[in-house]
Amino acid sequence: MDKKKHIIIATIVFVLFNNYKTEAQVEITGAPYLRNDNVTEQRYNNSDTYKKPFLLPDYFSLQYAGDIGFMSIGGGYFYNKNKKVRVNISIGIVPKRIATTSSSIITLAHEFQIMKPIKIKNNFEWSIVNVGAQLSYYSGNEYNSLNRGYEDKYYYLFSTNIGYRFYFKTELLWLNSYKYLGYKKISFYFESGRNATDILTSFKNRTVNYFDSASFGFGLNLYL
Amino acid sequence: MRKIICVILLIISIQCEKFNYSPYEIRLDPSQENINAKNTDKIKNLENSDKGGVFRIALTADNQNNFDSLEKVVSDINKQDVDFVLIAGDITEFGSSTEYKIGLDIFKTINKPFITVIGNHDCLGTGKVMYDEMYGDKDFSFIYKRIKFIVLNTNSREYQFDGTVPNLYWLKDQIYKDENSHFDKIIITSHVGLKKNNSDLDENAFQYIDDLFKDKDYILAALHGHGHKFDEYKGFTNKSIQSLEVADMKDEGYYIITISNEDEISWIRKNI
Repeated sequence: MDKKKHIIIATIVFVLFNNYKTEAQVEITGAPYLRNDNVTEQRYNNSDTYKKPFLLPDYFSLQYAGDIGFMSIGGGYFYNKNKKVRVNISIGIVPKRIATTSSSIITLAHEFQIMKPIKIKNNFEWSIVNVGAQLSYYSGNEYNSLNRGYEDKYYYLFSTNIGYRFYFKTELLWLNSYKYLGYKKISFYFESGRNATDILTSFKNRTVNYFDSASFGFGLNLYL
Repeated sequence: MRKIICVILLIISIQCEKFNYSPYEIRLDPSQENINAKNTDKIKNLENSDKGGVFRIALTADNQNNFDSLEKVVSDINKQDVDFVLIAGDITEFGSSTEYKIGLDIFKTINKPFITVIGNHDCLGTGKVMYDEMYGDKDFSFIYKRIKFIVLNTNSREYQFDGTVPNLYWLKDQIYKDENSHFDKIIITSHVGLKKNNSDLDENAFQYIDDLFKDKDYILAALHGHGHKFDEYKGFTNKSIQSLEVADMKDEGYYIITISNEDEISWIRKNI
């Protein structure tokens, strides 16, 4: 059953990425809205006039760890024009051979940029602090145990299927990556956060500090 | 720029073990594995070095995520003259990897061997597998000074009352005694108490166990937690069996139990 689940998730991820073509690929295949270099340049110089396909995310993300899987892959959308608020959806996998039990984690994150990015030389920007909240769904037989056999469904007052986590993130953006890799911007980020259950434990115990229960992750964002 | 990258790499290298894949992940280093088996060996070695018949044990339970209180209790137990410590389950609140690890770090400060029992909260999420990896078998036994300690998983609810928990076949085998047996008495330790009308214990299981224990005058006591309060009672038809329920860690209390040369059991409540 677990194997089937992983195959389905792997297929979704494959389809998601296989359907996407970088700008460089689109140019070669001659997409009607990108006819020559001038149009492409214009698109990146003036993003307001560029009409991105409706469902295509504003960026793709690839993350290691951070409580959302050994590796997770996803995409996100900006809410507003100044790109300070974003929502990110990702699918992560924890393989059995790495963590004894396998699981798939679907995560919906909501993130705010709370400080204006600092320009570093011409080609780099540093978004010092973003803060976010995420909701994860853990799939796997172990996580469903609370849904079976309990006449009182509030016996434990929480579900092991669902996890809430709060995090902060720092992101370094490479601004002219388009020329080399076909993405408008590429960023490397580092994030740290804590689960709601760990925050609760921390409130109850003076001896449990941030680093006792914090988790860390890092990853890449590929902006379209 | 280089400085920033260096700082990031430094943080990554320092916090390497903190790159968690999931709150319920199971990644342990060898010092965090098979704790009960390691401590059982220590208890056996203790027996060889001590020829006296009288011994004392500490019984605690239900620390859940009250780690401050757990530290206080451990600190107090370390001042007592006990041979080993029994921790009767619920060593976590949410069954998470972080709680298991923080709890173990505190248990390791006990200056005597300690034995844990799986509690219902420890079964949550991947807790059952985590317990197997960190502490070992959920049902096991060891003998100390001719007393057989049976550690029994009684969390029937967390196994959906499927009839596998408690493991009655294993228990029946464990309490069998004849002239070749290396023990005189038996003490059973569990998390959920072996008592009638306990809604968290398989109802049929209790009836079976009660019948099983009826003619076994060598069963000394049944120790457990889960009820979050101190209680001393006779819970079986066989009234020679003493049941002790230990309070939770919020009350910062525990039992010190003494087994005499005549294999008689006595206890005192300790409140901090």
